[in-house]
Amino acid sequence: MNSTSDHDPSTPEPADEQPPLTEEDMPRSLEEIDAALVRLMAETEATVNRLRAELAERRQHEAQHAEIERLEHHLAEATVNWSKVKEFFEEVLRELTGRQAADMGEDERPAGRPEGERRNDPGTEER
Amino acid sequence: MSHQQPERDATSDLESPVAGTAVLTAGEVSADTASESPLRGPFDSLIAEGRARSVVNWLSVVVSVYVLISAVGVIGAGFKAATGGQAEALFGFASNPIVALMVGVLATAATQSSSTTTSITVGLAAGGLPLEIAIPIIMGANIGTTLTNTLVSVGMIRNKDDFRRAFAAATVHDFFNLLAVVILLPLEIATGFLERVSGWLAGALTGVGGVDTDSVDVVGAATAPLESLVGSLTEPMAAPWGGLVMIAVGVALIVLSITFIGKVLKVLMVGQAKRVLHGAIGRGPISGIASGAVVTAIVQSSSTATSLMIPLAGSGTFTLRQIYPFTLGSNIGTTATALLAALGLSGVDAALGLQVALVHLLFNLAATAVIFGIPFLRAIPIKGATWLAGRSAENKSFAAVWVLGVFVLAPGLLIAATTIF
Repeated sequence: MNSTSDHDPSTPEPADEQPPLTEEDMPRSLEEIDAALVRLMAETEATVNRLRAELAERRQHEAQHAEIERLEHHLAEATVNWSKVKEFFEEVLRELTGRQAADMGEDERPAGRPEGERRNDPGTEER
Repeated sequence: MSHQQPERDATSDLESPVAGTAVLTAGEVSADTASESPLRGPFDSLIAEGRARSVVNWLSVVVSVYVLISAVGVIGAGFKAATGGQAEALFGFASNPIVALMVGVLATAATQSSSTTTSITVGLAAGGLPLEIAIPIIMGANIGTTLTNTLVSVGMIRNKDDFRRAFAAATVHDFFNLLAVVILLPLEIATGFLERVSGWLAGALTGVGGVDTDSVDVVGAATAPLESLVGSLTEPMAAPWGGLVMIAVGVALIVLSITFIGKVLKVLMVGQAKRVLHGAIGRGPISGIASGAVVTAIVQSSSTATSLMIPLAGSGTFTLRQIYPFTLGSNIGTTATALLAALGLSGVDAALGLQVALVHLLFNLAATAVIFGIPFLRAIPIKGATWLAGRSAENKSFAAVWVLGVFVLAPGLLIAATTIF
């Protein structure tokens, strides 16, 4: 809390930060102590957030540099893999036919009975 | 090589900013890259690694560039022989700019190389293809080239998040190039600004405008033998078959030479490309554009340059906003091939061929300046790609409709409709 003791007055304050506590800011009542604590917590939180962002950015750059070191691998794989494209279109067809089957199942369901009710019916239980 | 997570320090409770990606340590990376490169050059099995192989690789690039430049001349001569000065009649079906645009999309989607389409168009323009047809074909090539990285991205279908990120990174290129055509094609039809500026530049650069008419055409003289050889082989054939065979030979030589150059340059220039990309990390979008342009010019393929970023986007190592400028740069970098291809043309042919190559460059520079320069427009490709990728991750038919619709059905139907009606 005693941040005034090691503050160098010649050092300019960053424009977006509040000035550190001075003698005049020293708490005189319980309310003032609370206010000072709240302010300190906010300052600490802002610093932690700044550090988090900086660390995240540093790690992201580190990961990017590492991936670029593997550029040979990425260049070798920078071509269309037709078996994967085929797999994709098969997946699309499966998704479409699955949805169609689900829609048809919904149409065949008896009117007036919601799906949840039907699922709880012991007669319709999946085996 | 394993993507294992390195030991974390006291801050290990903080979430990794790189979704789905393990950060590699420098030691792991150097051990991995030192092991063995998966890139294979065409002479790797014939010559031991070292200076000799490097020299042979570079010589093969020089020979391929020679073949590419000569092939453009072969196409031009073949087109002249085939059409007998009636190019407009032969390409009447493409006189509608939308059809010419779609021809460019389909041709590039089929060859997976905009450089191939633009180099062929340079040759055809030198042989008499009207600029009103050549310019939309060049614009279409820009759209068609985005198919490759889109197909690479659908390969990441197994993981929903990877697929969403990869598909967004691929389609941001689609959206940008479509938007560029939507803005600049009508502007070109209305004002002819690309034709005028490229014409002025081509005139100044080739000496047709009176700048350098007395100079010796070294490149033209060097590439003439191949053109003469193909010409003499097809001479006995009746018109227009001789010319058509010349065009087919020229197209085949362009496809082969561009594929070969790309393959060898990948091996030779991977170190340079790494340096460029390392230098761009942590810098602004201008560095991203510059790195995209340089890497694409190095590997002579925008399809390769943009496709190599797809796994990096899919894993979350690079964000969509970081990939976006890179793809714009690769649009610019890919124009180097057509400019190179236009080198072998001489006289008035040279001016026309070079003009088409310059249209490709100017179009991409203008698109980048207009779309990326105006904040409102800049956000559209990102928003479009994010929306489409989000929907496609939930329902893959969106991705399928996009791929088939933009690159196959819409161009095919538009060409068919215009031809029939």
